[in-house]
Amino acid sequence: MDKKGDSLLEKQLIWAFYLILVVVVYFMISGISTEKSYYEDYLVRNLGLSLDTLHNAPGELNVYHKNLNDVTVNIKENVVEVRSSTKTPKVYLFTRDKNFQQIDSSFNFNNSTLKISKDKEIYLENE
Amino acid sequence: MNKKAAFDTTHELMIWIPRIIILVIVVGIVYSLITIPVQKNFEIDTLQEKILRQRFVYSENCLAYEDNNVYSGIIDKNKFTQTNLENCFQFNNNIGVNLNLMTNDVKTINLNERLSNKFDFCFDKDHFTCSNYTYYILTKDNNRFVPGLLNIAMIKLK
Repeated sequence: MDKKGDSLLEKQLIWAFYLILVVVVYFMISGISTEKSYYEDYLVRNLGLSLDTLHNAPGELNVYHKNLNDVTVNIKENVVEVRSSTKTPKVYLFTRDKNFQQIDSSFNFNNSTLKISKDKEIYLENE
Repeated sequence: MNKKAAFDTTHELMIWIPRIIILVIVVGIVYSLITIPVQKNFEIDTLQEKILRQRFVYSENCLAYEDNNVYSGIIDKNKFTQTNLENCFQFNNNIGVNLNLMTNDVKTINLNERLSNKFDFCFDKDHFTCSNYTYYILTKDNNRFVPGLLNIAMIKLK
């Protein structure tokens, strides 16, 4: 192959590498942005921090978490578990007080809206 | 393969090695730039400790003084007991708390002894998150309001 041919082959290889790089970066970004486990991670922390914060509030308060269709929420003792399909559940350990007695048994939730109410005690309800 | 062809092949190979190394470095940097900020966004240990710390001062079930209303920031000295604080801060074996109420005298309470005597390990940022905050408060002692300090040190197992 003459020098011109060599140069052409080299350019083709470089473009092939560029294409591979673009594809790899695309899958990295799409993988991160659509990763469902990130949503579960966010949701379990959001629910757990909500429960922790509700204990601080003097007086009555209701907190609604909406659009929870695709996940199963399980709250037992001081553990919030969020799970979708068969994946390993995401877990948050919250800190309860003596008035958080209503949900000692396993609370399974699979509706679209979860209501957490606080007056003197804290309740969890399927809406 | 003649000598010139062999030399050309070797030469090409030598040129491509640094290119591949640079490519790997670039891919690594791009991956890090994307993933590191996303992972950092989910670090909530400090926020969790702040929320839990506030419970002692704001909640009537912990230390906040209550008659018909709840007075957040005013500490009822009668509530500063081991039993009451264990009732308002239950069931979390990953967190240890050390509370010091300083008025005319100093009272100390530790919650979850398994962790609350491990503050010396706070230098280990990979396994523990620690915080230490002092609130300026009023304490209600019988019929008197006395100014004081409430220091809350918290250690959390990661």
